[in-house]
Amino acid sequence: MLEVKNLRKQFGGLVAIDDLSFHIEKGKILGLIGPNGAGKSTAFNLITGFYSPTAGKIEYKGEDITGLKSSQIAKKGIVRTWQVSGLFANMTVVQSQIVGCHLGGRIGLWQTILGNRAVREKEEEVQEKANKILDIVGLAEFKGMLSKNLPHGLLRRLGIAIALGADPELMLLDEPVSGMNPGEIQETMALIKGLNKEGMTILLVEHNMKAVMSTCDHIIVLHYGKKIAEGLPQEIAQNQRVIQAYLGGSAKVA
Amino acid sequence: MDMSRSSFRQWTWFLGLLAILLLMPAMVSGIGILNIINMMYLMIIAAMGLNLILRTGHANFAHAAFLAIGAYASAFLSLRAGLAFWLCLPMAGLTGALIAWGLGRIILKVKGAYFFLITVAFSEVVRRSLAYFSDVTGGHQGIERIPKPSINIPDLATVRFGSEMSFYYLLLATMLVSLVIMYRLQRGHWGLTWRASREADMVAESVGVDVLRYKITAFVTGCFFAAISGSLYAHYVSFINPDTFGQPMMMGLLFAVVVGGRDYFYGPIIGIILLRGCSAAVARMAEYQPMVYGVILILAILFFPAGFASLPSRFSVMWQRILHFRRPSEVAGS
Repeated sequence: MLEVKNLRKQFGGLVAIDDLSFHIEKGKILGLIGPNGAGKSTAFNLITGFYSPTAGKIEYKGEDITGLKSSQIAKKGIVRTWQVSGLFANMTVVQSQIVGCHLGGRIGLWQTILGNRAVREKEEEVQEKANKILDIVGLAEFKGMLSKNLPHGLLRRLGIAIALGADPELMLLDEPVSGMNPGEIQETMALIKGLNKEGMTILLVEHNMKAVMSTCDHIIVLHYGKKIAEGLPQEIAQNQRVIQAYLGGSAKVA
Repeated sequence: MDMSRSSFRQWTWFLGLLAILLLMPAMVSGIGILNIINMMYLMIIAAMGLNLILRTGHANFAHAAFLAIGAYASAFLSLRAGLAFWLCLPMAGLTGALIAWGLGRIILKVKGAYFFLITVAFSEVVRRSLAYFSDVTGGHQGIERIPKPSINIPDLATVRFGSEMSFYYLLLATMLVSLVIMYRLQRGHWGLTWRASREADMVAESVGVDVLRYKITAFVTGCFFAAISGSLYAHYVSFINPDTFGQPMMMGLLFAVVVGGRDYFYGPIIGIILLRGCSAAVARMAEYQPMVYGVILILAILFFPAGFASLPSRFSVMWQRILHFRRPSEVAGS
């Protein structure tokens, strides 16, 4: 579904991503792990168009999407979530969700100014869709709350909900359970598995090894921008290079 | 049942307000006060446009320059090309919109201090150009005798908008139409997407919002209304020069938006009425005007950081403070 070929990203003299190649199969959950600074976030930003690569290619369903704008990539069906705790801080939960449903809810400028019935119908349709998603992720009762007043766990879930509004086929989750308590982690991972069961392909960056090992079909390990291992969760757990990368002796590995 | 009752109340309010606005010239005594109100209407159109751009997180310090663009375009078209005001007005607006589009595509990619510097530089370029190319613009002397609008009905009558009162209705109508357009834009899909672009542009972009395009649309719309306001100014006052649209006007607009309440649709309206009203009250001592602006601004920021439009919702909180004679922070600290 997504094919990353020989991707490279350089910031000045620093090579953040070095000759990275991997692919994601439709309907799978792929885990992307690695110590801090391994280049996971950079890989995310490259795939979703927030950075443009120094070299290499990204193909989605056989189509070259390298260098497209983020909003165009979202239109193709690739949507990411964010680690930021802000989101649309001063907007309510339901307003944020309506923005999340942007792609299905666009209304022309002139139409808005003239304000005919089609506008009202469209607005109601989007409102309905937003409410439905909030129901699914369990945020329905917080609709009227300002996003900034949400507790951390719910805010992270709102992040996922906003991304769902764009009807993604491939969702990139950036540390969806960081800072959560065990109960919240379980709920969120169940939500992610549920989305996957309904056919959504998922690329997951996460530091919580238990969550990663129990959800992912396949795992890729990054270290200093390079792929050092790839395989099934149980293979990765026993891989010597991976253990070294996490526990030390990294200079030899690199 | 509830719906019809609340909409009935809304209509009563609306019609009552409209009646007051329509009868205003009969209620106020003296041309002077009507002139002040006319200038308020003019500036409300411009300030609303400024706030519309501010919704996307960009403080446009070139807003007064777009009033200048509208005013000079309109003056030029009516004096040199001999066009009627009714053509000059939309064409001035479109000139402003077109320049805003060209400029916005470049400058809306930057934020914060950089956007501030670029827009200040642009407005200075506009002001200096108007002073320098004196063949076309009249230089520092400006342009005089810009014709008043008139409606010519053949064989019947010619209505000339020469008086304060006739101009009052022209400005009122233009302002109301502008307000309706901006209200519809800010209330629905566009307003929400603009706010999202300010709150977290990257998050918005990641769900498919073409943030730059939305910001450009806001910038073009806001500058369009600035140019409309400028055109009306030119034909109302009949005289313009580069200094008309300098820093004092820019600061006046920005103060009005901040003092009125930038997160409220009607914030700039309150701001303009308040600031213009206060400065008119001390008009005889013109040298104190900047001081009045300053005092109002400081008080507003200290007591109503969200603007005077937030007063109703803040009132209950304030009442509590007055009752207890101390601030919540003191209570928490003790």
